[in-house]
Amino acid sequence: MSLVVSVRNLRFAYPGQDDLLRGVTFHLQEGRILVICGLSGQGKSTLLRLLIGLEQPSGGLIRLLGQDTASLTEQQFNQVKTQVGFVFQSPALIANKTIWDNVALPLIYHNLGDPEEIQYRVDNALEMLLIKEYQHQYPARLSLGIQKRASVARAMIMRPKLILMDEPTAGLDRISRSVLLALIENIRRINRVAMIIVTHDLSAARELDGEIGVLKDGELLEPMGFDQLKNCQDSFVEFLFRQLEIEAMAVDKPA
Amino acid sequence: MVQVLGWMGARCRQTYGGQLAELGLRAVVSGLRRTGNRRHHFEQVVTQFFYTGVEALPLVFFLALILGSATILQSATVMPKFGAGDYFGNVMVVVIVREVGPLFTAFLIAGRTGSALSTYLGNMKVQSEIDALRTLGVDPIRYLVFPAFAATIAALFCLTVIFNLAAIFGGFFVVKVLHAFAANATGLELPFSLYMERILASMSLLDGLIGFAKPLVFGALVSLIASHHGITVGGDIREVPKATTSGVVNSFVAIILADSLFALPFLAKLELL
Repeated sequence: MSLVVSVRNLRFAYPGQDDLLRGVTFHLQEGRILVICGLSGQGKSTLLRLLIGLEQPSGGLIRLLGQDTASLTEQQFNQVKTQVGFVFQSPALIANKTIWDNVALPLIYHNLGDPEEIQYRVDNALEMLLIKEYQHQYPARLSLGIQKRASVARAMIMRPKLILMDEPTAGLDRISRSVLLALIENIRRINRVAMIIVTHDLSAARELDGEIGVLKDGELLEPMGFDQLKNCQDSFVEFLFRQLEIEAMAVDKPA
Repeated sequence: MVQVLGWMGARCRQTYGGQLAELGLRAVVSGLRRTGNRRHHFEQVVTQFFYTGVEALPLVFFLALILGSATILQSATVMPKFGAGDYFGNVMVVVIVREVGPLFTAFLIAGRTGSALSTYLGNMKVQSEIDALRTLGVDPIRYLVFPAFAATIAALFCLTVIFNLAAIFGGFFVVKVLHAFAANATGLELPFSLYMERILASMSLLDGLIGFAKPLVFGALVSLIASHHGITVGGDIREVPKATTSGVVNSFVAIILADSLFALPFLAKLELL
């Protein structure tokens, strides 16, 4: 299996601030899921933004689909991005376009297919994410759960080899969250797409059945399976698991 | 030498004018790129032209009628009293074609389209929509700024021509209607053939060239200033109204400054320079 993402010694600091990321290193193979957990402000979202080129690292190496992103021109990087999907924490759908137009946008912009093919691919994606009935509606009129699913549909429409997701379950109720996680797992299984999912929700990480990397003090702990992580002797990881237990108790407890 | 030029270039890029020039250059370069779905890009320009040009047309036409008839009325009734009736055509050309037509239309578009563009782009920035476009490999300059840039220039040009024609012909028609109610007012009995003869006789090649060039320059300024203020909004929603206000005010100032530069050839002609 080939490497889809390779990050070595990645460093980043916002202007005038201390280093947020201090040498993050990890690799991700084709078709695998890496869930990055950690508390707010640890740099999880920033890490994803660095991978897709929305922020510039202050040091280190990012290889995306075999290409060193620092050596690419803007146009070359845009070509690489056609093979990478990105799901923002807020759905970030274009407000004056319908759900169908939002999902079709990258295909139309990059001229990937004739109108019939685009129609077929968009319809397929909308059906897969169970939002076909909302295709003619504008994002503002829809619930957050539907908007997030549309955002996932847009990220997968170009049949990417890698999808980056920033807190895909944030702000969703339990049912919408479970539906979305099941759909994400479906996409990974059917399309064999690699995913990096950033979340502070450890239970989501368990459901997605991928390797979990914990971001702590600007460094990423060696990614491992959920059960392995549970036995990890790190105080921060123990704290995360205690939070998970508290959440589980809150759910079990009748109102 | 190269270092000095590089330093000067970097300093220029930090100035407001430098940033506008860079944005304009990037818009043109990305717009003329032959990659991607060019038909879709053309449709984007047409859609923007519709919002900027076609939707503003009734307002521009209405204002042109009022302003044209007021100018004709004032110059045709007041000027003969000072023995300057023969200069009536010059006044129409200078006031409508050379100055008021391009200026009024540009102000209108700066207030209407410029403010909408800054708000639209600013909101997109705050809602991470522009970042979302970047992650899809969509160049925001090509997708958002270029259509606004091209369409505003084209729309402002067309609207200015329509404004001039509506002010000259429509204004004359309004005056003739008024004449029916105030037949004894001096100057209002001017026949259409003489009216047109005087205007055409007063119009020089320079008037025509500058009348055509002004809306192109004003259109570029309005769209670039509005886009610049929109896309430089940070992540705070409170910055959007500030960006919109600055965009409109700066557009007005830029239009007036550019207009004063257009006056230079006429000053040179009068040997004032």
